[in-house]
Amino acid sequence: MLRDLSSGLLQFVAPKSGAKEPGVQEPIPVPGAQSGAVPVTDGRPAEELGLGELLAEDFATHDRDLLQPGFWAVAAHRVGRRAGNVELRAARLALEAAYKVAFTGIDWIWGINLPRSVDLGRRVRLWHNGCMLLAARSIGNDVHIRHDTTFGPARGTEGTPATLPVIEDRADIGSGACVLGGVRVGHDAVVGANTVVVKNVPPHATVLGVPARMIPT
Amino acid sequence: MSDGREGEGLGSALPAGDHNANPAGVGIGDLLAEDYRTHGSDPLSPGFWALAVHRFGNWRMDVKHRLLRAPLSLLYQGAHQGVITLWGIDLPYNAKIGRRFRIAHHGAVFIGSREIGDDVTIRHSVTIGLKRKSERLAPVIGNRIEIGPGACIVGDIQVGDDSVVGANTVLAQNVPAGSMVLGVPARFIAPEKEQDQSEGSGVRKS
Repeated sequence: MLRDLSSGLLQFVAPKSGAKEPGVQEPIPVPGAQSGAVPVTDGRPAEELGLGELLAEDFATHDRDLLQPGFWAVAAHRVGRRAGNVELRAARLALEAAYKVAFTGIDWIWGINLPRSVDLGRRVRLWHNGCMLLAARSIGNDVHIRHDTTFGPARGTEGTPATLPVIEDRADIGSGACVLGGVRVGHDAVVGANTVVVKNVPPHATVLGVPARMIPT
Repeated sequence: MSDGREGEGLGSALPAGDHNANPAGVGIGDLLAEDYRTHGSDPLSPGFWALAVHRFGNWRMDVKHRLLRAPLSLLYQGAHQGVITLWGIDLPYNAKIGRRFRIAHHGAVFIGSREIGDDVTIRHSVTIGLKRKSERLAPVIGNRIEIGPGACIVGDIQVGDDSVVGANTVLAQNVPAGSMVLGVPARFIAPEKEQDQSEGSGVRKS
């Protein structure tokens, strides 16, 4: 049922340009080895895109709506990631300061805390806002995340990146979900609302409950 | 959910708030300095400011003359509403809170406990309050307790020292010292078992 609901939502947000988003409506069979295979239009990871190109894509992902807090949170993350690469010192410092202000403002006003240490994929969509602490190690392409979600270290393991979760491509995270510790949420997995994930979630699985249990899809 | 609504909701379930219930034996300056350090010495930490407003709300009760206290009360109410509106942390001053209380992340926090001990850490979306509107007793939280994001602790219960309340857990029963609970409703889990699981979870080191 969750999967039905999520694919319904995904259809709802499919960009007007149509065929640009393969793979979000029906799971793409991933050939063998690397779980994080990228079924995207051009296959480039986020780091290889120019900032403008990336922001345009994020904007399209968020319904081309400037009032979506999720777009601004992702945009601030993109800028923050690149701020350190600016050659001119004055421009770099200005950009870092602007990032700091934007990050704090987004955290305070909308409650979205997406640190720039997160390795963020393309076309990540943040639905709604409030109480989001997204300190994952990485978040894959086409991941959908709703409000009140927490990615972070399990208790007592703060401070080391290996203890942060990895969210793989096309995972769908329900509202109120917590993914804690150095676990991996497989590609195309669905994490139900208010679920607490403390163990790995296999690809294409649907989990629900506190703690998370697999449910048949 | 404001503490101003006496006689309904939580108002009458909390302590009356007629005296300064800040931890005894430490001045307001030292207390605030300690709270600041507890929140990572970060002036941008909403948790620190929410707690500072709470401490100020208690401290003002030392001014016994009502007319002298009125401007301080006005300032407290404004700051309290500001903290709720901006950061979503509702921490009424008459909920008794011990030392080194830490609000690790803000948003949708409501703390309506009768008493909270020392060295307690909470996170966002934590609710501590009544179980039913008809019941009048809020929880008592011990010392050195960790509360995960999204947890609800409700009713006339006692949470023993050194306990851990997991994320999104709904706790409505007494918990002895040193417990670890998780689930809806809360179930006890063995700490060492959880340790094994996290070690065997196939984490790929990058």
